[in-house]
Amino acid sequence: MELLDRYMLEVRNHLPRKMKADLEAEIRSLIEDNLEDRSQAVGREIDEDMVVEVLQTFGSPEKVAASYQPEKYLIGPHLYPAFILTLRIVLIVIAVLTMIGIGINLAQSGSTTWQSLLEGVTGLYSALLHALGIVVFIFAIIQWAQPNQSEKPKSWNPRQLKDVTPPDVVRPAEPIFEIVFSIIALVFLNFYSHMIGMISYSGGQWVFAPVLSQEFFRYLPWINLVLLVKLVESFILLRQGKWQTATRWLSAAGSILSIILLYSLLTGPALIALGAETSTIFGWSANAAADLEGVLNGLLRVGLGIALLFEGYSLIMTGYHLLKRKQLKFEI
Amino acid sequence: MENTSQQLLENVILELRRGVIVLAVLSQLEKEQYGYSLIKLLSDQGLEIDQGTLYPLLRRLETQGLLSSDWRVEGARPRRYYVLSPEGKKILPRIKTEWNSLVKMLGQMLA
Repeated sequence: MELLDRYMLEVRNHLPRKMKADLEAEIRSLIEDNLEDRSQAVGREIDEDMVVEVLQTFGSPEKVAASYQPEKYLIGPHLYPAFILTLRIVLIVIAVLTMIGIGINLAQSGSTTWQSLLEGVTGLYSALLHALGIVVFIFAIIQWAQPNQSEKPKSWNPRQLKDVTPPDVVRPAEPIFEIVFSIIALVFLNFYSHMIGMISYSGGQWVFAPVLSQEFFRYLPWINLVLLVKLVESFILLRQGKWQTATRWLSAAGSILSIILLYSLLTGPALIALGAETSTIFGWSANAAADLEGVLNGLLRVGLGIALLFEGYSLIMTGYHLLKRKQLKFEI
Repeated sequence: MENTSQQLLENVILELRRGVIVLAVLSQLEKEQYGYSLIKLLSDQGLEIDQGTLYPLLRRLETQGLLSSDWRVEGARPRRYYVLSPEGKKILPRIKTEWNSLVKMLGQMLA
C-alpha cells in the first residue's frame, strides 16, 4: 500500500525522535486494523479508495503526530505573566529613551524637518522591535531550559501578604514646596536674572557682577515651560490630594521635557560667562577669570547631570506606577 | 444564534464525555486489548472515541504507571496490547468509588 507508506513517512517526520519507531508501528497497526475491519464490513478488498477514506478519518499526518505530543509553548502559561510585565516595562523604557533621543537630536539640529522626524520614528520602531525580539528570546530560553512544570501549588502563608498601600496619597507639603520653588524660579529667572552673579569685597567696597551668559537666555523660554508644567502638576496634586492617571501622565510629560532640556543645557554652550567686565570689576587677570569660569561651568554641569539622573529616575517610577495602576484595574 | 447554542451544547457535552473517558478506558482493560479492539469494545457499549484521542491517552496512562503494554506479532502484523498494571488494578476500585459518589452528589444537585 504505497499511499499508506507515504502517509506514514509524513507522520514519522513529525514525531519526536525518541518515540519515532514505536509510535510509527502503533499508528500503522491501527490504520491497518481499520482497513481490515472496513474491508470485512463492505465485503471488498482493500484498495486505494478505501485507504484514502480511512486516512481522511484519521486526519492529516501533522495532526496525528501532534496528538501524541505534549503541548509545546514558546513561552508557557506559568511564565507568561512575568513575560508580559517585563515586555511592558522594557518597551516603555525603550520608547521613552528613544523619544528623548529624538527630541535631543531635533533640539540640537535647530530645525524640524520631516526627514528628521521620519528617521526618528523609524528608529523608534526598530528599537521597539529589537527589544521585543530580545525579551521573547530570553523567555523562550527560560521556557526551554525549565523541566516540565507541574501544576503543584506552592505553599504560601497569608500572613506574608504585602500591606495594602494607600491609594497614591500626596502629602500637601510636597506640592506646596514645588509650587513655591517653581514660582520663585520663574520670577527670579525672568525678572531678576541680572541679580544672579558673584559678590566680592574689592577695593574697600562690595562689588557685584552678573555671571549668566547670553546663551542661558536662549534656553529661558524652555526653562519657563518646564517650570509651568511642574507648577500645573503641583496645583492639581494639591487640589486632588492624590495621584491619578492623568497627573501621572502629566508628570511623565514634565519629566521628558526636563530631561530634554537638562541634556541640552548639559551639552550646550557655557551658561556662566565671566567676561572682561567681570574681570575688571573684581580685579582679576584674564587667565584667572577663564579658570574660574571653567570651574563654575564644570560644577554647574555636574549639578545638571545629577538633576538629569533624578528626572530619569522620576520618569521610570512614574512609568512603573502607571503600569501598576493598569494591572490593578485589569485584576479588578 | 441557534447554531451558536448548538455548538455550545456540543462543546459542553464533549467536555462532559472527556471527563469519563479515563475511567471508561481503565474499566475495559482488566483484560488485555489492543487499540482497535478497545475502540470497538467502547463503541459497542455506546462510547464513541476517536483514535486520535484514545492512543495518546493509552500512552499517557502507561507513562503514569496505570497501564502496561507489550508488542505481539499476531498473524501478519504486530499489535501493541494494553492491560491494567498492578498499580492500575489497585487504583481502579478507588476511582469507581469516587465516580459513584460523584454520580450520587450530582443526582442530588439535579433533582
